[in-house]
Amino acid sequence: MSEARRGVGRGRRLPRGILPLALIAALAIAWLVPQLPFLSLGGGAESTLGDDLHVAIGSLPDQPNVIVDMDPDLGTYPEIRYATRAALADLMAVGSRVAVVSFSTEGRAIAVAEIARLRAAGAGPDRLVDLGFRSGGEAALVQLTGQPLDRDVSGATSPVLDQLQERGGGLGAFDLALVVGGGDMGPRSWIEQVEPRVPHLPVAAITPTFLLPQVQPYREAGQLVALAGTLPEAVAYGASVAGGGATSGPERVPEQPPNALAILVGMLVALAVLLESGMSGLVGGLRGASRGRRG
Amino acid sequence: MRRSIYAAVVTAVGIVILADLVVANPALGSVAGFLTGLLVLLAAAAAIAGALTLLVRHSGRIARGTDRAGSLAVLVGMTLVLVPGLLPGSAGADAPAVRWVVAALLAPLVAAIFALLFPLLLSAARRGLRLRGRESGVMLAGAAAVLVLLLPIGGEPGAWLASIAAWVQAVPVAAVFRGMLLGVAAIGALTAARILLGAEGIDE
Repeated sequence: MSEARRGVGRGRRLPRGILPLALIAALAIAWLVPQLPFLSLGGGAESTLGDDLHVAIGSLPDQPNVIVDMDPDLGTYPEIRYATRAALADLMAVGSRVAVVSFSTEGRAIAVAEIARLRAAGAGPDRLVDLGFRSGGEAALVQLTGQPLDRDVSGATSPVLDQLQERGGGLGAFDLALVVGGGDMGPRSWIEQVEPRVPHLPVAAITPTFLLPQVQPYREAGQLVALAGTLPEAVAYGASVAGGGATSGPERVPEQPPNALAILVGMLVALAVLLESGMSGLVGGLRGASRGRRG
Repeated sequence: MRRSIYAAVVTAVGIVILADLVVANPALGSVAGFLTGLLVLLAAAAAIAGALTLLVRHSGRIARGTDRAGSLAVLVGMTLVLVPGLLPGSAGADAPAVRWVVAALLAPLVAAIFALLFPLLLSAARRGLRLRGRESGVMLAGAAAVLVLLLPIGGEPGAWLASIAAWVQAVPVAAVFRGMLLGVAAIGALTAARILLGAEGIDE
């Protein structure tokens, strides 16, 4: 091979690691840039995405009792955190009394953090009760359907639980079950184990996108009364709750939606890699075929 | 004989719990409740047994000198999470130290590992195209089409893309996944029936 060709070949090869660093730099820049007007994750002001959950919570009776099953996965929780916090703020805004329970260890860790955040924002024991972690997965969920629910995680009563006892205690005393899924326990467990035993308890869900094929049929069949199962739906719902105007307290949505520009950059990088790989494969295949014909 | 005993116990427990779902009977309900309580204890015991097995295995590896760094990392991680929650007077999962470990260590680590899926999937896509070009090409063309449909663009183009994405999600993707879930459920039911009826041994 001639020196000139060797030199051209060396000049084309990028330094090792430059592409990952360039990707990180691009994502960091995109993350720091404020929201651009032509980008929209939640479908814009006219979109009906996210109405599902907003309507379900808005149609609850006055001062409803809501049980929140926090069982997301630590890996996928960043995708649904905005919608989850918006849902908790929405529940506080409509005057709900919220009981939080978890059936997985990761869910419990996240529930503890969210409960601490709400308490720091001003949600007192008359609005929020911690039912703790129930081990045993679906067996524990089945047990919950038959238990009176008169004690919180520390074994004490609370105004929320006293109010539940007036309505008969147990899961039947709740007006809505909101399931935050992503881990092993999720909306499917509630529909399979709870709905046959407590049929009049409506179940709504917030799930990451990978669970959508599993939960979408339940939504279409009406077994789930509301679902925020994709990022656009979650962002649209969060935006509609944040637009309610609360600037302090547990009714405030405490964070910004995911950055649409960073997501766009990541998707364009993925498209570029897929395209480049496809074109390289196609060109290589055509070259091989032409060499074969010549040979 | 042993397999028959296990199968009989599983069948009996399953029938009692299923019957409790269908028949409103206080005696049946109390039996089903007792069995459910046993299942909860079993799950808790399995979790503790798993943790102890992990402890014994990795302690043994450290003692034998096999992958000491990895085993030490596992044991240090377990200690970091367990000890703050089990100390006398600690509030368990609610303890500030445990919450710090989860928020400052666990959550970022798990999210970072999940984020690695992005470059790993792209790398796997490139390799897949080299190894099995036609099949991988079809799959990746579909993936690229979905990526285009999900681009976070506003205005008329974004609304048009979103409507096509909604149709793709509701019709072909849902159909494929429903078929897969039905197939998996059917195979699971068949396999369970074969095990319970002892038909597994006929093929051996």
